[in-house]
Amino acid sequence: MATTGDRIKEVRESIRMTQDELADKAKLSKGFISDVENGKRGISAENLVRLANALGASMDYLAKGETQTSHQRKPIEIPQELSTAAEQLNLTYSQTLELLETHNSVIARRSARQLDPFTVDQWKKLHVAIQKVFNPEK
Amino acid sequence: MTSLNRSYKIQTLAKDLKLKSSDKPLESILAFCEQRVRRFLKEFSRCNRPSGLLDILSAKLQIRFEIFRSDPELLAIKKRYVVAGEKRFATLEQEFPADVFGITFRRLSRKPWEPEYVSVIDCRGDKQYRANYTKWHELGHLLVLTDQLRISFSRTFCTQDLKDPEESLIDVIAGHFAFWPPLFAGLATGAISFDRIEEIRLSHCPEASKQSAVLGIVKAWRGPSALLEARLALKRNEQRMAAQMGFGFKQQPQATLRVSNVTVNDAAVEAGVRMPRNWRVPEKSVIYRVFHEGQDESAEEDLSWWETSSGTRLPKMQVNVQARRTLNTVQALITLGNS
Repeated sequence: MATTGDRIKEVRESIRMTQDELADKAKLSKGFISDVENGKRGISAENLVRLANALGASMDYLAKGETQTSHQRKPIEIPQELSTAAEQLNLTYSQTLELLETHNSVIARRSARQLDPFTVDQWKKLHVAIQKVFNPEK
Repeated sequence: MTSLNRSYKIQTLAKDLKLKSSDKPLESILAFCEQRVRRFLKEFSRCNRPSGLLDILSAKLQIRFEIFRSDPELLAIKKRYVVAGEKRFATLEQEFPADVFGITFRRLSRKPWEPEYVSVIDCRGDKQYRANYTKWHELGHLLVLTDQLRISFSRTFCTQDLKDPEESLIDVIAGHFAFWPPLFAGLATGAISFDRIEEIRLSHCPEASKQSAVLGIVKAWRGPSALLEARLALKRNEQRMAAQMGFGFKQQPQATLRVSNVTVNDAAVEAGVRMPRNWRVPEKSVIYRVFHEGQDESAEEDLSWWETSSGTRLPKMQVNVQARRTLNTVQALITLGNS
């Protein structure tokens, strides 16, 4: 069964980071990281936080091998503006939902002003921008 | 605070968080956050600095911060997340006009080991001074995140009081944990002064801006303390008329030195210190003198000097006032006369 050390090594290698680089970034010694990865030492919560933040990894994953998806948004209505945009763009229902989900993946925005709700034009622009980046040949 | 307690949006948030209904939802939400943070900290044997708390909360709330200091760095972040399949990043470079400091995204296309959220923080130019606070702000959102989509939208073109109540609440939460009193317990005691606050900032939380440190450390101080900021401003009704160009042929009113912001810590509230916003600064106060003469000064005063044009006065209370001039404002630390 994979251990915390195994998962630290797995993540570190998947982002092509050396033990030296990780030690430097997490402000821990290379020897310590090597020992943890090889199961020779345990790791405190404090040091696990350092490694998780240095690796850009979830602490839960490193500790338990799983990440919890803490909040599943309840089904929400398709805004009228999106509905109109989807009609004009000939989007399928699932494409429309995907566009809505993509838009709603912004969960917070620190700004000095409030946002206006997306207009039909803005929905269309978002769709076009996504297509341009993800399906440039179309 | 009181107006937030009256906000329908804040009451709804408290309900969504399944908190008992109360006439003080703000306090209930803060208590909820406090409980969550204390639960997270149980795993950790030590946490004595705000930066350590920030790291722990980031890990527990599954958020990764991506900071950019230039346009090329912003584009590099965009590229990295687009390659990972995050569609919302397709327009990332358009999402940061001058008034946007940070955006938090839920990852829709992530590897099993990656955190659920990524927060992109703008540190270009002057925004760098707000970067640390922006991180706390984004963490504040995650502390009270529920199933409901509540990102604030506005349908108004009004330019006054635009701030969304939930954003104000998040600022309260962010300010509370960025300068969490238990982390300042041994430091924020004794005689408070601007120099002492700066000393604590440099030794304990150098990543915090000077402005946020003054506010946060006053809040965390053990003894009764308040921070007051005053600037030239009109009376409230004059502001409303000015916004509507409603003076007609009447003479335009003159701005006078008024309280623009007040932070009163819990000990001061308990001691009965109150300092309403927008009240005119008494001409005999050191605050008035420092604003007009520019030289830092302190003095013993009485809060009963403060009165409105209709004659309402603050209750009699001996206080010590330390005032200093900043660019367009004067900041004053107010402590009880014998503290």
